[in-house]
Amino acid sequence: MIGWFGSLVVALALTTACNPEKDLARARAEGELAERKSRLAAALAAVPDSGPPGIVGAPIARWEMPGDLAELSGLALTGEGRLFGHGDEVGHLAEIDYRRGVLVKEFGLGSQTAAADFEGLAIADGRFFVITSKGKIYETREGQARERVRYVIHDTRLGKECEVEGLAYDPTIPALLVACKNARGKEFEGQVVIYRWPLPGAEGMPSLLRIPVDSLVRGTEYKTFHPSGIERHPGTGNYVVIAAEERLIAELTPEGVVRWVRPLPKESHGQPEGVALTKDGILLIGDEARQREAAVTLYRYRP
Amino acid sequence: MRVFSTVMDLATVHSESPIRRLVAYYVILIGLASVLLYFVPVFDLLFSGERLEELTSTPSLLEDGMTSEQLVPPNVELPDRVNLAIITASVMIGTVLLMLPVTWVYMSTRRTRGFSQSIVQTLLILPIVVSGIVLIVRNSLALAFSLAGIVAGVRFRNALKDPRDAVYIFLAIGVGLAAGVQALTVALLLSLVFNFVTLIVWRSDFGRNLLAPTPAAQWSEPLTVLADSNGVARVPDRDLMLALSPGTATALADRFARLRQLVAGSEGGRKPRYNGVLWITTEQVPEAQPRIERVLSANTKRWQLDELVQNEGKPSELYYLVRIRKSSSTDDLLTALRAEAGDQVISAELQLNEALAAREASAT
Repeated sequence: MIGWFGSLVVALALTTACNPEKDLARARAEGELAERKSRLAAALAAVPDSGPPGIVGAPIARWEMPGDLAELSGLALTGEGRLFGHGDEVGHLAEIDYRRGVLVKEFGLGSQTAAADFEGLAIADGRFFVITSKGKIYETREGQARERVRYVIHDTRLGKECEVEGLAYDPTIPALLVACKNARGKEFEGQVVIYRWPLPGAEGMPSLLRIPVDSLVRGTEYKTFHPSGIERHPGTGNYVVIAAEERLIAELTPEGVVRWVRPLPKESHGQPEGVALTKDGILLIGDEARQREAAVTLYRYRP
Repeated sequence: MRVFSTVMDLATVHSESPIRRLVAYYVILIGLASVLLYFVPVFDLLFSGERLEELTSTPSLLEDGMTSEQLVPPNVELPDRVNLAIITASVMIGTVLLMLPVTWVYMSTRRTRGFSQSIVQTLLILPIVVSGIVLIVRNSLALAFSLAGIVAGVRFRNALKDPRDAVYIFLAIGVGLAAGVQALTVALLLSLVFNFVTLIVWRSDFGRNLLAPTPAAQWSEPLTVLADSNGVARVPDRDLMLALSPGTATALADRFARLRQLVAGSEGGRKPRYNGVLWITTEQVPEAQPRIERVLSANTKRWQLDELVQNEGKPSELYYLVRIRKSSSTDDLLTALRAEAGDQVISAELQLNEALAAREASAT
C-alpha cells in the first residue's frame, strides 16, 4: 500500500516539475523579448529631431492586457521610468514593462480588494495615488506581486463639482493634477477644469486651471472636450490631456494655453483612459476594452 | 475501505479510541493537502479565499496587437475552463473529505438514541450541492438571495427528532459555503472544531442539570428489580441505562414485567407455558429469523415469537418465549444457535424463570 501511494506522489511530482513545453515556451519568449526591445529602440532612434510636436507616425507597439485588466484606466510612471496602470472598478494595480510587453506584477488595494470607480493614477516620490470619480484619493505604496497593500483615503470633496477622470503629478508646484470630465456649476460652462491639489500632508491651497473648450476643439469636428486622462511631460512640463469621448489628444502649457490638439485613431483607441509620457519620447495611451482588448499603445512623441 | 481502515490502524497503532482515530484522519488529510499544495501551487487558491480569476499570474507576456503572430507566454497556464474544472472538482472532493468525519461523529454519538440514515447521507451530499451553487452564483448580488434559498430549501419530510440534528445540517451548509468560496481552510477548521467539540460535549454529558435526578437514579431501580438474586437475568450495563430516556426505560420495564408473568406463572400455581425468554439482536432479520426458529423447533418444547423490534441504524431485536426441554439446558440452546446462525446473530441471551434457573444452578 505504501509503495502504491509513494509511486503516486513521485509521479505527481515529476509531472508538475518536468514540462518540456514550458521550457520551450520560455526560450521562445526570451528571444521574442529581446527582439521587442531592440525593435522599440530602433523605432525611437528613427524619430527625427525636427518636426511638428505631438505623435509621430503610427503606433510602434500595442500591448494587450489580460482579462482582469480589461478596464484599464489610469497610467503613471515612476521616477525611474517604470509604468503602472490600474483597473477601473476594482483596486488592482499592475506594473507593465512597456518596452518588452510584459505584465511584471499585480497587486491589490486592501485585504478585501477595494472597489470603487477608480479613474486616475499618479506616482509622486514613491507614493501611489489612485483617485475615484468622486474625488477620493486612495494613497498607497508599491506592493509585491499579488500583495494586498494597505491604503489611506483622502477626500478632496470635489465630487459635487467635478466628475474626476484623470490624475497626474506636477513636481514643480508640487501638486496633483485632477482633471474633470465634467465640471458642474454654471461658472464652468464652456470650460475644461483641472484642479491643482496639494499632495496629502503638504501645505498649500488648491488652485484651478480653466481652459476654454473652444481652444481645445479648434480645428476638429467636435464642440466638446471631456478629459479622460492627463499627464505632465517630464521634459517640457506641459500637460497632455486625452478625451475618450471625442478621441482627441491635446497638449497645453501649465498656464492653460493649448499648444496643439489632434485626433486619435479611432480604430486603435476604443476608450482611451490613461496617458503617460517617458523621458525618451514615448507616449503611452491606455485603453479600456471596447470592441477590442484593453491595451497600452506606444507612440513616438515629439515634444 | 479496507485500505482506509489499514491506514487508520497503522496511524493509530490499532487504537479503537474514536478521538485518536479522528485526530489521525485529520492529520493524514492535512498532510495530503500540504503535499498537494507544494507540488501544485494553483490549489493554494482553494485555501486562500482568493478567487482564481482575480489577479493574473505574473510575470506574463502580453500579446502584441501590432503583430499577427500569437506568442505562447513563458508561464504556460491552463485554459480557464480547465482551471475552473480543477477548482470545482477539488472543492467538491474537499467537502466530502471534510464531511466524512462529521458523519462518523454523528453516527457514533447517535448510536444509542438512533439516527436516520437519510440524515447521514444528507450530511455528505448537501455540502457538495451547496458548494456547487455558490461557485455558480458568487460575484453576484443573487448570492444573498441564494443563501436564503439554500436554507429554506433544506426541508425534511420527517421532523428532526433532535434539535441537534439541525445543527449538523447547518454545519453541512457552512462547509459547503466555505468550500464554494474557495476557503477550504475555513471549511477544514469548521469541520475539525465542530467534531471535537461535539465529541467532548457528548462524552462529558455537557449541559446536564445538576439539580435534576441522574438517569441512574430515575430508572435503575425498576431494572434492578428485574434481576434475579443469583444474577441470571442480566441488567443492562451502565452506559445503556444512562442512554435510555425515562420513557424508554419504563417501556422496557413494562415489557420485562409482562414477559416475567408469562414465564413465571400466575400466583395460583398453574404451570406456565413458557419458562424462558430468548432475546436476540441481529442486523439481518430476514436471514437470521428462519435459522433461529429452526434451532428453536429442534431444541425447545415449544416457542413463540413474542415481539420483533426492527430498528434503523442499530440492530433489530427478537423476543421469543420458549419452553426448554427438561433434557436440555440453556447452554445447549445457545450452542445450537451459535452453530446455526452465529454469523448473523450479534447477541443471544436466555432469561429463565426462577424454577428453571434454580434447577440449572443446582445441576452445576
